[in-house]
Amino acid sequence: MKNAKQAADEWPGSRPAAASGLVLCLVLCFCVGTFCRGRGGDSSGSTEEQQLRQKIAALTRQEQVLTAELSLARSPAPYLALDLANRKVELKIQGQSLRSFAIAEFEKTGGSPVAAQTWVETEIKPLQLTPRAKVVPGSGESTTSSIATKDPWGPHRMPMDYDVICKDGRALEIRSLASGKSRSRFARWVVSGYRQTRDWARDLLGRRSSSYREFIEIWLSEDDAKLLFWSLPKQFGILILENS
Amino acid sequence: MTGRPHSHSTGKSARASGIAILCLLCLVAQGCSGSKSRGRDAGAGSGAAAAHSGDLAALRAQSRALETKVKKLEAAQGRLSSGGPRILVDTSSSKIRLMSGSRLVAEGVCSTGNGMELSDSTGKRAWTFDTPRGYFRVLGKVANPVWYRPDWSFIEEGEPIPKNRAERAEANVLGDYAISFGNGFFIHGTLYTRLLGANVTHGCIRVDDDMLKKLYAAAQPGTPIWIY
Repeated sequence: MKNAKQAADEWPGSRPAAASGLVLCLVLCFCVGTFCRGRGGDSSGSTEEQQLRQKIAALTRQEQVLTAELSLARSPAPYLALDLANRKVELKIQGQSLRSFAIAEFEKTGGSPVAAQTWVETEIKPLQLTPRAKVVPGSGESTTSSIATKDPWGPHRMPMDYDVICKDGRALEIRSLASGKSRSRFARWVVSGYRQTRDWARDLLGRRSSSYREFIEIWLSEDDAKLLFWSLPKQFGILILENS
Repeated sequence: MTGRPHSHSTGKSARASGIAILCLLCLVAQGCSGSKSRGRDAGAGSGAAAAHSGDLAALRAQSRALETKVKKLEAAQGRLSSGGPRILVDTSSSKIRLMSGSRLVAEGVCSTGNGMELSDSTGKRAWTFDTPRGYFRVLGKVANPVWYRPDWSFIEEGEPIPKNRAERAEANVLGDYAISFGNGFFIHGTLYTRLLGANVTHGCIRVDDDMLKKLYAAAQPGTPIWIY
């Protein structure tokens, strides 16, 4: 104890120094508070600025999307609208949807992300053949009709995997997941797994990446992929919307 | 006793530096808050504040301009589908719809292409009986149409192809009316109404008498047809 008291006596400046330190802390707090209040007072301006910037970003995106869609919709020809942000693909005419399909999965490779862009289809390459019934010459229209009703032509006979080749080395690859009509969950899992592995192997072997500069692969249900193929016209535009 | 004078001088200098820092911080705080309040009060008085308010004004103007542009684009898109008759053919569900703009006027069942293939005996000529997809326009319409049978019809029936056009003419097989949309394709009636809804045609679109009458009345050359 003696040593401590002695030390305090030997150090006369320590108490005022502690007091000034305390005052210093208080002043520092005051200064920081004042500064922060000053900034806080200005926060309404920065909030408005932030809101305006967000609004401008949203409007700019909307403008890009509408401009891109109008470039296709002005023509009466049907076009595809691929909305990756909302995971749906639509067959549209003049801005109106004729058919809409849900995208289960998608993958985009190459190209820079933009809010909206348009591609132009040049060719559709199915990965499976579409078997067609043959009319035997001389069989007559009634026989043809009979065959047509027994083995009807329709979307169910369309290929479920196909590449939509577009201008400028682009491609939209449409692939199907096993249908919900498959016998069991396990069977669906196996079929979907096989199809995805097949695609992955194609990718690995470089067949795809070497042939297209930019591609989007979308996975639809089996029925949707077939119905989309069935509905496609000759030569069409594709509107691609992204979340950029 | 080397420590005492040293500690004494340390205490003094700490006090002095404390006071100095205190004064400095007060000045800085005053300066900061003062300039900010001046900036807010005087508006354009401060260069930084002017730039800030100028930024906001520019952003507001940019936002307004974009809003106007977006509204114009939306209006332009809305105008695309307005007015006039239009025919939509959904081949997957065998439905044909007559629209006026985006309003449904009439709907009926139809039959479309059977998807079959036919080749002649030489194999040099082949036909695929698909209904085309896409956008078409009404090219003409006719009441009491006569069908001039194309070559494939004779091959299908196993008959010789006539050289005389008159020998191809066949009345009363296309119904009361026929609406042409190019490349030999028509919307027409049928004798086989029980087959409506099935894909049994050679590419034409067959409809029942009632629907055909409505389509014939509404369609004019140039009326758009979408088949999908």
